[in-house]
Amino acid sequence: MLAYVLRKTLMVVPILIGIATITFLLNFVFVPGDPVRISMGQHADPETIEMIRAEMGLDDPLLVQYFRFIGGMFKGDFGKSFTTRQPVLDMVLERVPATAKLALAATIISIVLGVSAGIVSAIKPNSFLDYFFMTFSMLGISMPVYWLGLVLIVVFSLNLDILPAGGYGSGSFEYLILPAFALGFRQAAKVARMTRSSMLEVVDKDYVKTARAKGLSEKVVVIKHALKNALIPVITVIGTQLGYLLGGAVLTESVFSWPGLGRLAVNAVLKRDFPLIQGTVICLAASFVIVNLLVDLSYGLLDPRIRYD
Amino acid sequence: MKAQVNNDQEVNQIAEEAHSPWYEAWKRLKKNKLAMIGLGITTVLLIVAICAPLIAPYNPRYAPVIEDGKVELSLQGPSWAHPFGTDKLGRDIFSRVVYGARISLMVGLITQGIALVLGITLGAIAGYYGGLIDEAVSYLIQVFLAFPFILFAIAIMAVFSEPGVDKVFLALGLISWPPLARIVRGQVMSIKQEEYIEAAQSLGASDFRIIAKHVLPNSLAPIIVTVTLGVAGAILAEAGLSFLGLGTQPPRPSWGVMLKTGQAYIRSYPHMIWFPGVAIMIAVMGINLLGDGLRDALDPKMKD
Repeated sequence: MLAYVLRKTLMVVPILIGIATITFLLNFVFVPGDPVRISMGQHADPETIEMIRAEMGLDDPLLVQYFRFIGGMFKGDFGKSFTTRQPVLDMVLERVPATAKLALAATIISIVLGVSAGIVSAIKPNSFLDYFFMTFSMLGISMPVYWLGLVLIVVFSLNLDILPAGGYGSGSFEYLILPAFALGFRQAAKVARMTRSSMLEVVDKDYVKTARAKGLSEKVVVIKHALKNALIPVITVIGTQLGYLLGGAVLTESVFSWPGLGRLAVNAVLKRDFPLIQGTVICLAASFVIVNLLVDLSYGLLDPRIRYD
Repeated sequence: MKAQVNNDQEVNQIAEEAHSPWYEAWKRLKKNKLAMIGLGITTVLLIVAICAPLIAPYNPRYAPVIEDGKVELSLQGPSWAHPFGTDKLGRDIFSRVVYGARISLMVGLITQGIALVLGITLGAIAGYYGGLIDEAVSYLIQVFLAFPFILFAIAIMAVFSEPGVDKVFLALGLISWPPLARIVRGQVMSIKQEEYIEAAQSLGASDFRIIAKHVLPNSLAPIIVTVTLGVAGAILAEAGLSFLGLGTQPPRPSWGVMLKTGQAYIRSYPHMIWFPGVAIMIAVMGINLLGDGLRDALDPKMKD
């Protein structure tokens, strides 16, 4: 078990290096011209540019820069932002709680909505409720998250005036509701579809029939016997969808002026603050990789049939 | 004589049943109601995109009436003359949505075209030659898939000094190939052991010919499904990038651009965001339904 966890964890390292390498290539090799000059604009004072270049070691050979960058990454050093002159790591860490909160809330919403809609649909396939939920999930998968965000703002903030249209509200709950729902809806749709098909597959299995034949109540059959076994593919969906969730967070945060990593990344790109782009992109991609690892490892807890070897 | 007739009938029947797998797939697809809805939406989308100048009543980029430098038709709600209303510059939103279908479909098709070339080449090389090349390509696939898609696109857009729809093609194409490469690689690896490949090799067929003639036709079904769903994904991604200001630029009537401009007027003129958003949703849903249907029809074993 421990060996398995270790091996899986170690496999993440080359992926992280790959992510860092690609972002490095994008920002410091493929960008035509001097990244500092591009970021500071044409009217920047040449001395400042020289200073930043010297400070970042941008005059060293590329290979030296690359190894320094990779080495720095493992020490948590992503350099300094071109625009604010602050360490990138500090700027990133400052934004992590807001994005984590949003992603977590969206995931909870998606599990609660998705699993219950999926169960209801699977218990009575082809019923009115089944069609209702499946139509909604089809729409949910096709809807751009930021558009749903705008629609929610129009309905709940502008027309009904019951929830704030954006901002962080120093962390108060009502500010979280709309962005979390906008972000979680697509995920909920995916989870609902997966739960439904996975439940339908399980419902025909012999052990479910046995459970029914024993005279267990429908509730016990559904929750204890069917759902528990149907959940494994659902967990996979939640894991693989996390990429969409983090990508969606970038868009959702922009709609709701949510002070998270996604908005930091977009602003960094708009200002072409290359060290900051690197820091945010690596941080978001790395969290995607790490959560996928955790999802992988959690299978064993849910399904004892999965062996670690 | 009678026996002969029966025999003929039987032969005909067998021939009818043994249609090509593509015909069988089409029959399965036709039975799938959702897939047919998807096919219908996709067809309408294609027609709208191709015939945009015939359908759109106004110019999508310029306002119809400008007098004394004032835009007369600025920010009108939906009416008979302007079913979707007008925007700040007095442009007809319906016409812009119609032309937007062009941009969206072009993004979908061109990015998937780039992805096809990259994915098939890399996947085929990796699967066919194996060894170190395979490990390198597989590693690249893993790393590319480790990036959240839209974030990767944003990071690539940062490279360009001026964002624009042409760069969106490039950025999305460059990151859409891994699923295709994975499919082709797997197919190549499983087929290359077959005897008919060995036969082709011993007849002196080149590697390229073997891949093109024997391997690709066998992986066509999953490729079609992946590309179809990829078109929908690219449409969503382009709209997202443009919404952030990192994709297609105004005055081009991209649905994402329209949502971005609409956002500024959301308090007083929410009609500006309804129609482009619904257009994206319907287009993406139609193509997704078609893709799901194709998957069920082409390969009943393949599930997400």
